[in-house]
Amino acid sequence: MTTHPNRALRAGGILLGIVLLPATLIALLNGDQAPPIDVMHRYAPVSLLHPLGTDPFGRDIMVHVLTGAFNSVTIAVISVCLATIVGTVLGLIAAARPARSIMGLADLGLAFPPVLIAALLVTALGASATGEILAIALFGLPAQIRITRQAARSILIQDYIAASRLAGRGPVYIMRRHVLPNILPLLTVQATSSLALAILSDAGLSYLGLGAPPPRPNLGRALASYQIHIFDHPLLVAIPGLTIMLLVLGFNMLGDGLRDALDAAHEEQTP
Amino acid sequence: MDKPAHRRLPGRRRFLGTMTGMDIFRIPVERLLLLIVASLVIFAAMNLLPGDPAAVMLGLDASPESLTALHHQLGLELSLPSRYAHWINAFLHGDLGRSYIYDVPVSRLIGERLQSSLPLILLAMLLSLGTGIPLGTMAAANRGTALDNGLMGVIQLFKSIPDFWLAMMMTFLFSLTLHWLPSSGFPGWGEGIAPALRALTLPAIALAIPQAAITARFMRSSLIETLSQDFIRTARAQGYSRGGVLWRIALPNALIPVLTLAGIQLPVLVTGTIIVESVFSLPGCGKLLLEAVNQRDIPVVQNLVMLIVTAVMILNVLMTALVRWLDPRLGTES
Repeated sequence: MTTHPNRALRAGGILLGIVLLPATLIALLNGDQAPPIDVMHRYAPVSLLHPLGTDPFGRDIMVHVLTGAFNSVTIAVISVCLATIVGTVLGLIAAARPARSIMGLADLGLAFPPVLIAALLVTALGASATGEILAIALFGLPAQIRITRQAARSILIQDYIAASRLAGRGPVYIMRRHVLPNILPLLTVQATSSLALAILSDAGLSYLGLGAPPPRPNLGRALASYQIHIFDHPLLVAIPGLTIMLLVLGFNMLGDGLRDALDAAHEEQTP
Repeated sequence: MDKPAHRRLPGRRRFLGTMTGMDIFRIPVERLLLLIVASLVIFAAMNLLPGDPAAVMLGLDASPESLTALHHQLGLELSLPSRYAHWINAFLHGDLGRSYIYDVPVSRLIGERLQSSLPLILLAMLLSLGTGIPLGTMAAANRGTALDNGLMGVIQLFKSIPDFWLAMMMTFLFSLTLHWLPSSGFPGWGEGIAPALRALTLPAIALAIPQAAITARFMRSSLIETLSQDFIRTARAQGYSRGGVLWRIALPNALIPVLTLAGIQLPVLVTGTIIVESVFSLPGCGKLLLEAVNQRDIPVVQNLVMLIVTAVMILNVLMTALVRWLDPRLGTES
């Protein structure tokens, strides 16, 4: 895979496309709510009307799972954006000056998995989408801070930064004009890989009931509600799980492909 | 700050000798400060946010007298700082409070639940290191071959599988279809070791597979990186065979970052344990935490989360110390 950066990129794109295109389409047509319950048509077999059949509530499985995928990806994207923005700002500050307190807080993440943050938030405030986003973002924050800081430092020791400083540019200008554009590709790679982790976190939290509450369906809750039917209808459990796997695999491969492409571009610049 | 590297005898691996005077204190002190911050975060989440725990516990139709009585019993009429001091003091003395719901000491609840959680985590960790390290080594030793590509493909796939879904699919295959292993529950250690281990096998495998994939991938890149170092070339020049270099020189060096990774992955393993316990209805700490969250059993949530965070932090310090002991070069870096 490492030898064919574009292959990983393409494979990741295709995997994501398989899930995300129909999911977005369905969300545009149907909204982000679960398909209607229809007790007359429980466990309907595969047909043109219901490409994957219906579930124990008579809901179309494909529509339900794809709407869930859309909602799960939405949560993941918002959390990763939050972690990326806050993490980049904190990372840049930590790179510019010795800020042990920021790095110490980043270390705190080593001990606080999202499920504990979510458990605290749900106990205090009840389940909410905001709480889930916060828990996933907080978990992703330390890595973001570390990576930004490290990348920014490698830029800050360059001669042109010293020159810029001598020319009287302030730290904010230097960060914005010199450091940020240089580390942006790396941050994009990191964000893509974080999306894979965020989707796994969302699935786990929702499965446990610590994620965004009903009525909006999501993949983790779909799994939890279908779990008891595993013996008589194993496909019910297989489909949401496979969807999660496709999404995570897609974002992982996309991230790997982007990283390899980035490395290749670097090698071309400095032969 | 550090002693110059040449003054240290090669091969001498004294635990404290690898750290400078400041380091010995700095790392534990920093972790301690972090733990204090963590305790403040946990306390704040449990006590500052809106909602009266007594009202939640007693329900909507509680009489004002019973509310006041419960307030008194929970110490809610005290000021926040003194409640915090009270909690930390008790926590340090091993008193984890009393569960609202079960009305027994939280420490007893946790002690009972650790019987399945602790062996599960240990088993999963052993399994993931025990398969991930050999697989990663195999891939690195055969770098670029079909074997390497195939292994990396499988690893990428397993890295992307949610562990709890894997757990469900494994119960379908091994418990419901083949009837090899129990699908849920835990008989306890009183029934003998075999049934307890049988109950933990599937959960441990489900937990270990994604971790093993991450370990294998990391092991592979670590070994490849080590193999490209100058001292490997030197060893080859000194007459070591290709295999000799790999096993005796590269592997021990490449293993060190993998141990660091195992330390970093610990919280992820904790998360996985909580979820997998739920899939297999194992009566472990994860299940306890979820029940407590659902019933707003604040003493259980507060103390259990604090205990997990403390344990992870302590293990992390031990892991850092172990890695530094194994590789004295690391202590001189920062």
